Amino acid sequence: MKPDPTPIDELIARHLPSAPPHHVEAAGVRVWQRLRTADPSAATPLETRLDVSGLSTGRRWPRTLGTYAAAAAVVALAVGAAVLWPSAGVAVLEAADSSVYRVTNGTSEPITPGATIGRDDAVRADGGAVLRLADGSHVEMRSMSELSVERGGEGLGIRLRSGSIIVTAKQDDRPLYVKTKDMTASVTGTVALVKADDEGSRVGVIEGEAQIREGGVETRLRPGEQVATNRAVPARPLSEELAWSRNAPSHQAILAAFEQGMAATAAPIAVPRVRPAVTAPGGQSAPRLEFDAASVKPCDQNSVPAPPAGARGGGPNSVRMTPGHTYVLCVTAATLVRTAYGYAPADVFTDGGRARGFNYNNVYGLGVEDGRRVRGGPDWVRNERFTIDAVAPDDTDIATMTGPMLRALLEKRFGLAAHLDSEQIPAFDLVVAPGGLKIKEGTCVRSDAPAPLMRSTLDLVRKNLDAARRGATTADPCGLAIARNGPNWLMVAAGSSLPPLSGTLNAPVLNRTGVSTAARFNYVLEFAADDAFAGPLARAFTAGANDAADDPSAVAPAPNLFTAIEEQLGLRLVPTRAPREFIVIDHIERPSAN
Amino acid sequence: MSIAAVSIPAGETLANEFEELFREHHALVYRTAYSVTGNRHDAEDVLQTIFVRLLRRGAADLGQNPAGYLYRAAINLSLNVVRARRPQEPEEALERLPAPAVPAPSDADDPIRRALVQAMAQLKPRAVEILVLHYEHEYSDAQIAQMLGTSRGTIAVTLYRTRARLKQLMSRAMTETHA
Repeated sequence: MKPDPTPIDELIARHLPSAPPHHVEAAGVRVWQRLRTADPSAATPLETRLDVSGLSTGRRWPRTLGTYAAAAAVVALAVGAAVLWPSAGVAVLEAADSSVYRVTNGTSEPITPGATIGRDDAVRADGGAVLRLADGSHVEMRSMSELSVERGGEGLGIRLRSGSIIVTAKQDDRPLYVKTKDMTASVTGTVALVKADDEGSRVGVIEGEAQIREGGVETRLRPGEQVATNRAVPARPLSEELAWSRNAPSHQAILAAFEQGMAATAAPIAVPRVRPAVTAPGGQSAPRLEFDAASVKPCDQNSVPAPPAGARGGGPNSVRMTPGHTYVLCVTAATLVRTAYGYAPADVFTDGGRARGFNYNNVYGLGVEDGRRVRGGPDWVRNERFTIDAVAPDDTDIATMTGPMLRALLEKRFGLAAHLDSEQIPAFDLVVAPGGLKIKEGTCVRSDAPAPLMRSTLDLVRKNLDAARRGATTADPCGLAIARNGPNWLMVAAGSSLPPLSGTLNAPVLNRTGVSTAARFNYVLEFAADDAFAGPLARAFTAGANDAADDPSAVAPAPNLFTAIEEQLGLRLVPTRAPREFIVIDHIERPSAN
Repeated sequence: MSIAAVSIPAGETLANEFEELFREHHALVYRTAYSVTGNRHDAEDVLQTIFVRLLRRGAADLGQNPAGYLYRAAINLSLNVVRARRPQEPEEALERLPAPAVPAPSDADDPIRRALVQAMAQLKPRAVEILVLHYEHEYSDAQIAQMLGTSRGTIAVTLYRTRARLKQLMSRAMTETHA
């Protein structure tokens, strides 16, 4: 090979390896999955190959580095489910309505939000308070409550000494324990009320499930159920028990709407049939991809209680999963097919239309399939609705319940036969405009102080608008916010990615910029609210949207989206076509009887 | 009046600060490692090893500039990877060098790239830091100078010398290959 006569500068620029954005993303996902289960005490494969012992310390990097965020003062490192928390802190006080005291070795001192609570410290709240635990769970304390946070062999735990708490336990491999003097509740991915007083203890589940151990007796509680250690004390409805909570309306409304809907429309589940496992050669059983039992019942959406205002889900077209249980409330068959094949509602901003993963215990709105993703079949698949209550082994993951198992149910009970097809639809390539990108990677500095429990979107806009316009570093609240500004739309990014425009344009937007989706920027995109903004986002904002402008009438109209994005950000939207998958129903029948 | 606007939280909910650290900086580490090693497998190994070491040693070493620390760690470890591919013998013609432990998918198609990666491995880490900041991460001389706490002139001179050294190394390697 002859020496290349190209100038060296050009040669380096052309041939220096540069990772494609999809490599970066895929590698990030793979490595993160490995890190979650890594044993840091063991050498990595690379270290073994190189036979190296550790990082070179070398010269310290100077402090000034304008485009990078400062490190947090306190960094918690996670190894699997265990959390290494600095010093002995196991929790942080996030919010307090009144005085809160930390009791350490018998000495009581008042603390304020941001204070760390150590293992075996007691916390006493005169008014309401909220703690964030080391594993990300939250504990809301009622006034005149006292607890301590423990870390032991069983993991993280709360000892409720007196009063009432509502625990929002993070979904994790290891459950969170809540102990009183006479019972222990273990919860994961659950919202539960726990009460302890002289008369005994009470646990009620708002969302998810809880395992209660009282003496040698174990009980499993589902949403709406409660148990008390003193049966002589009459129980109040759970919705009344949690009335003191700052989130009471939300808990009560969604719980009530969904449960009423299920009660009104569900049929009793048939006794589970014991199926012989399918045995592969070698004697190992293959995983079963069917629900153990399911009830499918027609539903009249007019007889289902309406969901709370603004709630996603809780009424018809909702779904909720708990371990081993799938509840689908009053959904059309077409929507069931779309869900079973892994597609989200068309107006949910997803990657390629695929649904983001569900989590246990949340109520999700599925929307109504409108023919974009599911085609064919008789009219009733889009007009008639059904409620499904299905059970599976407790360790069945959500993706299996809402995917293969739901598909198997549709095939068996609805006689569904379907195939996938694809079409070309209008789309846009997002490219760097000829003048080059006009925004540089930047950061949003997160505050050390605990975030307010309720945050207004306009907080982000008003606080960060000036800095974002200049591309300067922004500060908490971080993220992307969209609001009106007189006759225009404002998209303000505070440490966020390139603008998400699929929802705005109601068409796929393919990132061809070469900019990683992990890159973060501060910018403002302001454009006229014209017909181009016809997507579902517009419908969400048109009515009663708050305005960021003090005097909307004084705001000059901005250019349209296509002009604005090029002038302001150095990006260009180029019309193109992109494939979209859809499902064709070849055959379907009304469901067989339970 | 209710607020009818959407706030999209930055990224997914982060369980803890380590996850946030990874999320903010994994792209920087991976891209840097990829530029130095020239292949995705080694780059991924570098990424994993750096963050495992963070788990192992804690975040105290990061100081107030985690990105800078991670960047330099990526450069150093990546150079070690590339150097480990080379035999412990004087500079040899490219055609006689053994194949890399994990061959880069595109090396077969781009011998200039392979020569560039091998040549970079013979530079000092400081020079590679500046080179990758300039060509891969596209920082200006002024920005690099600020990041490294030195003068713009020093960066310009270092880049000039680094290019000259690379030109020399690559010319020699490609000439010998052709011979």
